[in-house]
Amino acid sequence: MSEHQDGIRRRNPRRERDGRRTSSVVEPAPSVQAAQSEAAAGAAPRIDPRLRRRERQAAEPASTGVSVRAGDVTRIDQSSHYVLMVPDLERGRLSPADRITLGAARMLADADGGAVVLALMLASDEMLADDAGRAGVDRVVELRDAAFAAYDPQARAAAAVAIAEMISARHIVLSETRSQGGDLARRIAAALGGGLAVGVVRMTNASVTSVIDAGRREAIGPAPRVVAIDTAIFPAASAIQAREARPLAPPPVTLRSAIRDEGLVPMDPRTLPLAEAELVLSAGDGVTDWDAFHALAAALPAAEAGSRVVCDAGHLPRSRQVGASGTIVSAQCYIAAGISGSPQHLHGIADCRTVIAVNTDLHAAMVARAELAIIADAQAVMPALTKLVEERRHAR
Amino acid sequence: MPANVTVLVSIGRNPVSGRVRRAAADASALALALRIAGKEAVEVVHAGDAAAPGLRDYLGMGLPRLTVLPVSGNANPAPALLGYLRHRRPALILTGERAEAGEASGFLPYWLAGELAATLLPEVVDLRMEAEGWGAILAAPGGRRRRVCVAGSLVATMGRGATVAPLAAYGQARRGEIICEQTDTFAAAAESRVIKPARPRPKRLVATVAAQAGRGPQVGVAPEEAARMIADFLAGRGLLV
Ligand SMILES: Cc1cc2nc3c(=O)[nH]c(=O)nc-3n(C[C@H](O)[C@H](O)[C@H](O)COP(=O)(O)OP(=O)(O)OC[C@H]3O[C@@H](n4cnc5c(N)ncnc54)[C@H](O)[C@@H]3O)c2cc1C
Repeated sequence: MSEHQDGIRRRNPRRERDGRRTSSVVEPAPSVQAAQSEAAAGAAPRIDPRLRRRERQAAEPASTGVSVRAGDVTRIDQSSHYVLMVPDLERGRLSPADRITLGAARMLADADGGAVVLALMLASDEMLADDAGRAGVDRVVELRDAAFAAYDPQARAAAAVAIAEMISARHIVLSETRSQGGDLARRIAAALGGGLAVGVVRMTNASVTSVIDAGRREAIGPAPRVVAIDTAIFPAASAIQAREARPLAPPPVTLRSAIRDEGLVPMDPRTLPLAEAELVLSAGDGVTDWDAFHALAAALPAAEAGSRVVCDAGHLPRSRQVGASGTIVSAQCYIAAGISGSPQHLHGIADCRTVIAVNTDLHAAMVARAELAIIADAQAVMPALTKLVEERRHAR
Repeated sequence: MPANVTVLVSIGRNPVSGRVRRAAADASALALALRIAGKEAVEVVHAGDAAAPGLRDYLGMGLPRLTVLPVSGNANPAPALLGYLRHRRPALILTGERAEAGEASGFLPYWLAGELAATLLPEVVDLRMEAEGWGAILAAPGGRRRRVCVAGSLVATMGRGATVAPLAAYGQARRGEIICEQTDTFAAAAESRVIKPARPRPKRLVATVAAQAGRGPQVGVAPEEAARMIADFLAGRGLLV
């Protein structure tokens, strides 16, 4: 589909919302616009029946087109090129990573008068519960297929490639997230060719900086076709201008995949590899009461881990060692009891979202790293925490 | 004897000390291959320098031999691997999800899968040959597991959820044989980018509690009070069930 084919239609989200109430708006494709108030409230359910209703109305054919003023919405009518952004989506919403990546897509588009196109690959009962226009999206392509309800990265990649080809996307931009955008970016790059930059931490005038060599070096060069953004580092856009999020008709695709999803399987949290645990209780040389340590890990429950000193001493098996020569953990919370925080150890927890330190030394490096640091004897805090956790659990 | 499982291995590097070693994820891939196919049906391939330190660590995992496709210094190992694999057509290619040094973009397995028209499965933690193809267990977000089936040839990558591979045995590492297979030579592509040492780039902290509370280390709190603070911190993040 080309720009001039849909170029006669002018959209203004506000007018359209009004228009939908009287079912008089021409829509080339179901709209993904959600009410701004819902987006702002931050609590819209995954499938809002009101949105569904609006969507049905929007899809109704009507005979008159609307031509409206752009108002506070920035509109690109004749775009020189397209930049396709494929979001991860979290429960039907744009994730924080998606928004940072949209900012990167915007930079690539603005370098040369291009438009940002959001690719939505949704299962039959899904919809976007965010206002794409407000997130800075010029166009939206929505592809619906039952395959998207299951884990099927091959089908998703094929769909993204079909959209990219339909609009001749100059760049395809994704968040480099594990299991999602990071995987998809590599699949798309393998299918399309034209290069791939991963670990992108910076961008200026369509030149990208990627971290390579496991973080030791960085490479700066022109943006290749597929760009995967390290959203933990890439700067967030300072101001986002509202865009029109005009729907484009999706390409016809027949999705075939060799992957059959058989669903999630139950997993004993105690046998979970340390690298995947969400909550880790880790011991260092400052832990002497091992019964209290194991009791606390069982009560929380948390995966057990330790520093090298502790594993060397045989208190915990080697597979539980955290650090440069052990396991890299990426827990939501890492509780470090009696661990000083050597560089080798801190390397292993660089990806942890938060750290709690219990240490007798106020000047320990782990205390500086921690979001919550308790300067106290671990042997006293561990049993107190076990008792409290069990009490709270019984109270419920 | 044609091997039907091929493991691709690279040279690893300790992220802090920089010491050369076997790559952890590649070693996990090899351990899985040995478990499901046995050492006679597994071929291990490295594209690079046959004398690279760390390579023998893989032999030490109980392997009689290892194939090296000689590729010089900075050249991309991918074309040599593709040429070799096209020839061999293994039913299963196993490898780590990302190298520990060099470009380390994690793209190689995807590129190979694309070129060989194989299916790629990431984050594999376990794999089994089944009547209709491969049954795989994948690591899913939130420490969960997913079961999938794949028909046809498969490229499987292993990441953090993989089993920790047993340490290399020194004797076997010395005894094992390294066989060089000549392939077409591919010149290193000209580097069009500027390469520099990485600058330290702080990661965005997701509104940490310390920042919210604006409080430093808690000194002189009783154990019960400390316990309450920790429990509240965890509960506030949905980590106490
Ligand atoms: C090549 C190399 C690789 C390495 N790789 C790793 C690795 O992967 N992982 C790793 O962990 N280490 C690694 N190390 C070792 C690392 O340098 C440190 O020696 C180690 O991490 C220290 O462990 P620790 O914090 O438990 O002990 P210590 O440094 O001794 O710290 C103990 C801490 O406990 C506190 N403490 C003491 N008593 C109490 C108490 N009663 N209550 C509360 N706190 C108390 C102390 O204040 C201190 O902060 C490596 C070293 C080298 C050279």
